[in-house]
Amino acid sequence: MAIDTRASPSSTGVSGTTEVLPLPFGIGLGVGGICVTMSAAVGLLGDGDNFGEARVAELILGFTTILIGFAVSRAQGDRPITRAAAMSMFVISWVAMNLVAIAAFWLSGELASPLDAVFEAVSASTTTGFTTVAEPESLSYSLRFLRVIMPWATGLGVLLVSMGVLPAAVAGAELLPERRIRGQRKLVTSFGIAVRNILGLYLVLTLSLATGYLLAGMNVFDGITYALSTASTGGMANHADSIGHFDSAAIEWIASAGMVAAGGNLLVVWWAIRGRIDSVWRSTELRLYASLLAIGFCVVFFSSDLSASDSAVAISSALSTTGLRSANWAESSAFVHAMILVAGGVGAMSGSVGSGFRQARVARIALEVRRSLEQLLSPHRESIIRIDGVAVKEKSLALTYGYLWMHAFTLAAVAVLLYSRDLDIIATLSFALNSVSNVGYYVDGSELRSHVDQSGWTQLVAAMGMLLGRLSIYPVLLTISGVGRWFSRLRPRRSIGVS
Amino acid sequence: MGFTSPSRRVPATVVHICGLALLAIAPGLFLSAVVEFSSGGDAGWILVLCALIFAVVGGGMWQGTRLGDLAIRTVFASVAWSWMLVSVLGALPFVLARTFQQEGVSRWIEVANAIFESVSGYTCTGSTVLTNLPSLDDPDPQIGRGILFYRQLTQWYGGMGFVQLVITVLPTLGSKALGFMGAEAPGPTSDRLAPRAADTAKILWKLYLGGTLAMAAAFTAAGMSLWDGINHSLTTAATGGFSTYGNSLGEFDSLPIEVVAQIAMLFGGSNWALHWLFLTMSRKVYGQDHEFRAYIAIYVVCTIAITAMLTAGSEVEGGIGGALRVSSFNVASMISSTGFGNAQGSGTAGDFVLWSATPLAIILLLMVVGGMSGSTAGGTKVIRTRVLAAISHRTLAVARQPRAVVPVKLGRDVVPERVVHQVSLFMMAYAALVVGGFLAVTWLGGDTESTIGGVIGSLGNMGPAFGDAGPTTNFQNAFPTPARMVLAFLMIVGRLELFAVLLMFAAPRRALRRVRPHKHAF
Repeated sequence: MAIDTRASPSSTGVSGTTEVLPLPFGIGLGVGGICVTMSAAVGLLGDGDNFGEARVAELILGFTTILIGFAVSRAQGDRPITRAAAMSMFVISWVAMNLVAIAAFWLSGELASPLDAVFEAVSASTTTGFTTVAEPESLSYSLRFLRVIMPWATGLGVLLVSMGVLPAAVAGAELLPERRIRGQRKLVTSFGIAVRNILGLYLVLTLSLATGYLLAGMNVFDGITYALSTASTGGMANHADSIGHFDSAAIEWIASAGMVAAGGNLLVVWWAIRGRIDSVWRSTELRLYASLLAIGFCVVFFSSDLSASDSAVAISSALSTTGLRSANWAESSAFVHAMILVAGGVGAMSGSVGSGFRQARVARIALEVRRSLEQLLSPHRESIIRIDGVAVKEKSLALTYGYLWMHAFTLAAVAVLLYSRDLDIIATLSFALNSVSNVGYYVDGSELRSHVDQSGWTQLVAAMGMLLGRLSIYPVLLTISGVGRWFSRLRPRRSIGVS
Repeated sequence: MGFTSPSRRVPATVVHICGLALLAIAPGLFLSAVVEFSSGGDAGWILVLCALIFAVVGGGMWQGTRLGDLAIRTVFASVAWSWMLVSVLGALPFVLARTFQQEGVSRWIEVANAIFESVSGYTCTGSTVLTNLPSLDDPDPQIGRGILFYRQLTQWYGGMGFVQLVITVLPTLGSKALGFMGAEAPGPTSDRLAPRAADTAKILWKLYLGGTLAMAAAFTAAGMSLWDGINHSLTTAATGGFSTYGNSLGEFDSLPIEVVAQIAMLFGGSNWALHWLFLTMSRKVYGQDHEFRAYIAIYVVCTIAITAMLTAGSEVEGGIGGALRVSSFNVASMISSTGFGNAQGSGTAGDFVLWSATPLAIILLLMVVGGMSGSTAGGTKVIRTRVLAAISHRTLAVARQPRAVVPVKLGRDVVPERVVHQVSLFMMAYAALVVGGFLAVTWLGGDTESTIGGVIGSLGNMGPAFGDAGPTTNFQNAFPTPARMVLAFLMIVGRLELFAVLLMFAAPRRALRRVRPHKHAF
């Protein structure tokens, strides 16, 4: 498979469905099947005879979907695909993976309704962390594992797409300015090497976190699941109080470090590993990320009664869009609320598993505002925006603004459509913002909640917001418009002339 | 003693324009003094004194200087400084008349409250810190009628803009006048109704005066007294929202008055150039204007949506009729950025802070969108929202076809890239100010709910906010004094559409740099 950087009118979106559909659908089914099979295996080990039938059903479901996925993916042709089609493929594979997960959640019989299964699957696979389960402790090992392995798989997919596929495509060009720095070794030289490097880094982060959690006092299951949840910025927890359940400063510091790393650009981590410290420090996005972390930590620590470790968890969880909680900062001052809400809205660095609006875009917008003010002072002055010493193309800047407005419209639409009478205006705005940013908790009065017990409509709207936020809006809209066109082509055309 | 001859005056555009702006306010203060004397109030001489101060200081600044540099930065700075000066000095009558005198409140906070009220007035925001506004049943109001009239008049001045008023009497500006109008006028572009900018300004001011008189007549016909009709027409035409009563228009509890107010608010929130074209050229201009169609569509859709939600949730008394009454009024009030309320008191149907979250979220979005460009309304303007939607659509099209050149279109019209860029820039700066304001006000002690509404409302010159700063309460209890000062600053920033204020320090700095001796002078 090769990505054609040119776009032809006939093969954009999923309009060339026969070329685009099989491989991602097959991959999605396969990945979903692997996740379900692994969860069933964990369940068989952990749950023993409890939920025995459900585990067997999950195993059958998992194996069947792996086989179907393999068979379907073989039907993919070898014609080059377009950029827009590559984005649509990611959406299609994500949908296929979710179909499997929804089936597994529903077959388990542990969730109250099919809609809960949909919400839980979408929340997990978008690395958000909202849950319909009030007490996750009561779930089987299998489901608890499925809730964290899915975001981990999505996180890997996001990294591969953003680092391995999209840099060649339109959205990638704006996401990763750093990789164009002269003289820098690119992380992504070919897709195969990209997969190896990214998987390696991601695994190292996960294993390090698991080891840290185990050493800090978690049991094996919690250590692994929280490591998966932290590394993927998924935020799904095995306990209603999230990591606050352990009441351990060591665990909170490890979680904070893990969330900061997961929300950081993988390329910067790669530079650090390769000893290119000067490149690391030169990264505008990293400086912004570090500054926001430092400022946020100071605000939370000095404006609330939270301990240093709790403050670190609060700000790193919001900025990396993970959603793990160790203390109820909602009882703190409005300034703390504001800081954490803003941090969640800004989100993680580009090229990370984190979500949100992204630091790179914020940096570009700040530089653009400054440039425009300078031009107002000196109208004849022409200047170009440089990030890390590299000029940013005007077209790329225009895409950033376009994305900003799409993001804003999405946020506004989700906030209005949520329509929950149980939530006040702050809870609604916080729920909408954290759905689109995939943070995974919201402020309800003086309570910080991940548990969503709203109506089915509210859950569906929030799920749509999570999906749009996770997939950076473009791919979803392109896929929807592509599907629309495909259907319009299926309609019989009116004949011209008289029969 | 005669005036300084023009050749000997110091070339200082900023000071010159500020002086004229102060001078323009003086007649309003004299008129307020006349009202105060005729109603038997005791603040008449204070108002006369203030009028003299404005006239002398303004006249001195005007006559001692002449127009110099007319670069765009100077134009922006002149407009911003004149607004800042008038808004702050406009507090003088309130300070001298001790309008904000309260037990347990220090003189400094009194001054701060007076400045807040003045800024809120001149920027047509309508947020108030007055706790002792009269009611219809109150036979002995604590605030004199002259002061109340001056308070209403601040919004009337601010509605069309006093720099625009200055332009009508300043022939020397020539083609640069349009720059001043653009710096003060709401919206991304300013319409030219006559070949000369000064004539355009005159037309707009005449239209504004005519509109105000028509509104006063309509209010009186709907059941208000002449005094109330005049006062409310001043702030309706300006889409300001100050009322002479604590319960705003809810004090009258009259459907005809609310209907008149709605029509008048929507009129004030639409482009005044359209009104002129309607009167002089074509009866079809409203239907042909895509921004006006969008403006009315937003009003209708939001009214229907909120009515449906309030009815479904049984949130107001009176069934669908009651819901329609409060929703249509509040939607008109917010989209036009007027800020009048129709609640008869805290806890009644029109008190929108008690509504459920989704109608409130719609109100919040209306606060962001605001009225039409070229109107007296605040907010980011309907046209900008439409351009943003078109930009989003283009972004998607470019993602699908990376090599395609896709113009941004409004209907069939292509929006120039310069305007697209300006709109994007404006909205980015607006978003940054909302975030910055939100952090600053919460840091200074505002609660989350009041602050979100307060910051967006202040930037959009709306008036009421959420939480403790809703339509039946006031800003004094909702925000500490420093937070109120931040909100006042945001009001000026919002009224001048951000850039004038952001650039206001640039021109004086450059002028000072020119005065300072150079390093290599010797």
